[in-house]
Order: sequence, then structure tokens, then C-alpha cells
Amino acid sequence: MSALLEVNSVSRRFGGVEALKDITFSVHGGEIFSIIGPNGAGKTTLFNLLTGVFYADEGSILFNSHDITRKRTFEIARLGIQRTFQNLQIFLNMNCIENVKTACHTRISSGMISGCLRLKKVIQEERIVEKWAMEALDFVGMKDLALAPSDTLPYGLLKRLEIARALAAKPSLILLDEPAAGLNDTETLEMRHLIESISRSGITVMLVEHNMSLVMEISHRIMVLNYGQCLKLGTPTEVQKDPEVIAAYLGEAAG
Amino acid sequence: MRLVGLYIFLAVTIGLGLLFPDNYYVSVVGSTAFFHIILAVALNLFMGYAGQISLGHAAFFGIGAYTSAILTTRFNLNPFVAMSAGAMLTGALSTLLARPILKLKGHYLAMATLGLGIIVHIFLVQEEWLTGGPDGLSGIPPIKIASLVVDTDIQWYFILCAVSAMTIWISLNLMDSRMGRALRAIHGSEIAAEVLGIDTASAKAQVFVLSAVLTSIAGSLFVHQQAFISPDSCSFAFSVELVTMVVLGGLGSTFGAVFGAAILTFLPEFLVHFEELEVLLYGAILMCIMIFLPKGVFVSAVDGVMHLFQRRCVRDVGSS
Ligand SMILES: Nc1ncnc2c1ncn2[C@@H]1O[C@H](COP(=O)(O)OP(=O)(O)OP(=O)(O)O)[C@@H](O)[C@H]1O
Ligand SMILES: [Mg+2]
Repeated sequence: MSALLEVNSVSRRFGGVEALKDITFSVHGGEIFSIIGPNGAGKTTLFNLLTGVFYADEGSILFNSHDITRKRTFEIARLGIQRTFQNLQIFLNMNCIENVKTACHTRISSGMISGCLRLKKVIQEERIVEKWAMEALDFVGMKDLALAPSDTLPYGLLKRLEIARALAAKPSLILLDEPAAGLNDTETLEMRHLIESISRSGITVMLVEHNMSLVMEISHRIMVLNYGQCLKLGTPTEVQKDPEVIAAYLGEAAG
Repeated sequence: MRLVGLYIFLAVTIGLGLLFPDNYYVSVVGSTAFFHIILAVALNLFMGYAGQISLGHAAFFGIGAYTSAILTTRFNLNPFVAMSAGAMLTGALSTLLARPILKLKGHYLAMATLGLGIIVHIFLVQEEWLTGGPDGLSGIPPIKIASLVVDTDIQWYFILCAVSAMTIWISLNLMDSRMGRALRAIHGSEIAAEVLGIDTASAKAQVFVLSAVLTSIAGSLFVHQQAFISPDSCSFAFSVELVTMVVLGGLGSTFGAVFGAAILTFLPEFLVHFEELEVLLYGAILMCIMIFLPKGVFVSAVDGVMHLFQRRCVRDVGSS
């Protein structure tokens, strides 16, 4: 297994808060790599650094041997990293399939003028984008809702839609920020199957999640963050046995 | 199906033009409505699609109008050459301004575009040697298509009808294309758009320029129709009126902009009969529309019809 993502001694401060302190790890192609830790541990901040939403104060990030430490968000996306958001960022002004079609942006190339004049190229693109978008919706089981306005969907479906959208961009690495938060037991189980099928389709998954049984059952490796520091990095069994982790997080989560 | 609205628009406007060519409300007010439709649809690309705001679009209208006026009166240039020159000047200026201005958001963007509008207006009033100052420029020649001189109201009606239809066509095309989706995504969530690989700064700049150039072309046509231009036609008030049209009809919908433009053109014509109450009623009607139909007249109406339709479907399913 080769390292798809390498994070080297990355730190990030917000004013006085050290959101991430000297974090080093790498993610291998094909694995499900989870990040857990109490609220405010820096999990979302890590995703923000990986997608160029914020920049690291120190350290470097390598993806597919490209240095992405200072790259802009849309450039990183074009290299093949996609993410979902803890606080959903669906385009509520579009219906489901339009949301997903938007994600095909980097897979097609027509410009604004061609679009305005609806050149032949645009018509061809629209046909193929329609197909890609339906495939992505089908993958998350939302094919029938293609034309539903997104602002009428329940929360659980919006979470799926956001994943479908990320998948339509054909990423090699997907970052899921609390995909099961706010879902009931059935929905959580469905989400687990979805994450597993994403992984099976060859996409590397990084997962932030508070639902411990989900994390422990599907992750290959887990990194535990606490106050911006890496407390432990290992397999689910190793992490569960670690006394420091139990004291800082698992004990509290279990109790 | 995609262009159904456009066909209806063409059927109605061409029908009216053929049936009532001498009616004041058709040929004269109708032509003004077409100008407003072109301008509102162009502004909607920037405001409704991309979710930005401009309180300075009258500046681009003025640049197109004055470039055409000056080049055709002083240099005897062909009106279409002058129009292209105006469009290029507007394109260059808006390209130059787009990046720095569009870094701003919300109120700050409104302030910056407002400033642009005011600067251009002051320039038009002050630089008398070039622009004729507050009195403006007159004696602007009509346009000629082949050997036909366009100077009657109904000729203008049909020409502006064609240009409106083209603008609507462009707007509808853009909606269902790669960059059109990118713009609407920026409106929905700028951060999510970036994460999907959209260069949001560039997309916003491009649509700003597109919108400005269309506005400039409308300005050029306007001076030839009126044979006259003064700074009053490109004032801050006009920018606000354009924004009102877009919002009134329904932000983000091409036909919302069309309806908004039509309503704001015809409403004052009918309120004239109320004499001193005119302005009061005008304001009251706009306020009521925004309070009771916050999504705009057209979008609310479409939503309403869809709702009724869905309810009927549900009832049918329930009873079967
Ligand atoms: N944009 C920001 N500005 C200021 N402080 C921030 C910002 N983003 C994060 N922080 C701070 O950084 C720390 C880590 O936040 P982060 O959102 O990464 O936590 P998290 O692990 O995702 O928590 P949760 O489980 O609640 O989502 C917190 O103290 C937070 O207040
Ligand atoms: Mg978080």
C-alpha cells in the first residue's frame, strides 16, 4: 500500500486556540481512515486544511505526491479530493440532479460563451452529465428523487445527496464529516453500507464520526485527536484498548 | 420544453405588435418594456443566478449609450460599429474592475458598485466637452438595417422584441450549462462550489462582464431609439429600478426578470390616472408585493401552481 495522503507536522491556530498541533500521519490508498475525538478537538479543522478552506500555519500536506499545502480549494478539488460538510452545504436553490450535475464541473470543459449559445459541445456535455448524475444518485439510492427540489428533502436524504454530489466529481479521496450525525438507527445502518460501498468502489475514505460502533466496525485505522493533538493512531482494537484514549474520549462516550 | 417560455413570449409580443401596431401602450410603452426586459434579464444573470448584487449597472448602460452617441455624431461611425466599440469598452472596464470588486460580498459589494455608478454619472455630468454635460447629446442618427432606416415606433418594437428574445434565449441556455450551474452553485453555497472544483472568483468575474456587456448593448440601442441621451438616463435611481425589477419578478428566474421589467414599465403608465396619488400607490404596491410574495411575482405564481397541481395529484392517489 502506498501513501495517498501525507500530512507532515501540520499546525493551525485560531487566535489563542491551537486547533491542530504538530499533526503527522498518512493515509493509504483504499483504506477507511477515521478521525475521532471530543468536540473542538480539531477534526473539522483538519478537513478544512486538507481542502484549502484554511491554510496550515506550519507543516506540509502532500496528496498523490502533489504539494497541496498552499493550493486553493478548487485546485485541490481538481486533483481529486472531495468532502461533505458537518453543517450540510447543499445548493438549496437547485433540485437534486442539478446539485449532482454541478459536481461534474471538472469532468467537462465548456465555457460561459459556449453555454450562452448552446453550442453542439454543450448539448453533448449535457447528455453525458445527465448520465453521470443519475449514476451517482442511483449509487446513494436517490434515483427517484432526481427532480425533487432539494429544499423539501428531509435531513437524512440531504446527507445522502451531499455524498452523491461529492461522488459525481469522481474523487480518489473523500472526506466525510459526521455523515451519521442526526440519523436514526436505520438510517445509520444504511449510511454504513453506503460508506462501505464507496470504499469498495476504490475510493479512499476519511471519516470523522462520533458514532463509535460505526467507526470501530468499518475503519481500517483510527486517529484520536484531543485538543488539537494526536493522542493515538492505530487499528480499532489498539485504539479501544488505549488507556489514554479511554480517559480522554471513549470513557466519556461510553458513559 | 426548455424554451417553452420563450415561445410563449414571442407569440404574445409578436401577436400584440401585429394586432395593435398603432396602440401607444404596445409600440411606445412596449418598446420601453423591451429595454427593461433586456436589462433585467442581463442583471439577473449576475444577481439572480450568481447571487451577487450590483447597484451600478446604469453605469454600463451609460457607457454603451454615450459611446454610441459620441462615435456616431462626432465621427460618423456606423451605429453597429459604435455599438461594438461601446461593448468592448464596457467589457474592458468590467474585466478590470471585476476581480477587486467581486472580492467583496453583500453590503460591501453593493457599496462598491454604487460607487462605480456614481463615478460614471459624475463623469457624464462634468466632462461637458465629451458628453454634453447635464444637457446630454442629441441628434443621434437612427440605425439602418440593410437599406431600411429604423425610425418608426413599431419598427423599434419588433427590433427590440428580437433582441429581448435573444437575451432571454442566452439566459435560458446558460442556466442548463456547466458555467450556469457553477453560478447558481455560488449562489447556493460558495464554499461547496469551490470544493467541487469551481473557480468561483473567475466565474463571478465572467458573469459580471457578460451582464455588463449586454447592458451596454441595450444602452447603445437606447440612444438610437431616443435620438437623445442625458445623464438622467444613467443615474443611480435607474440602477435601483433595475434591481427592483429583478427582485420583484423573482430572483434567479429568467422569466421572473421579464415579468418584473414588464410590471415596472406598465404600472406607472396606469397609475398616471391617479394623479397626485401616483407615487404613493406605486410605492405601496411594490411594498405589498414584496411583503406578500417575497420570492417575487413570477416565482411565487409558479410555486403556487405547482403546489395546487401536487395537491391534486396527492388527492387523486389518495382516492384511487
Ligand atoms: N474559523 C474558526 N475561527 C476560530 N476558531 C475556530 C475556527 N474553526 C475552528 N475553530 C476552533 O478550533 C477548535 C477546533 O474546532 P473544530 O471545528 O475543528 O472541532 P471538531 O473536532 O470538528 O469538533 P466537533 O466534534 O464539535 O465538530 C475549536 O476550539 C474551535 O472553536
Ligand atoms: Mg467538526
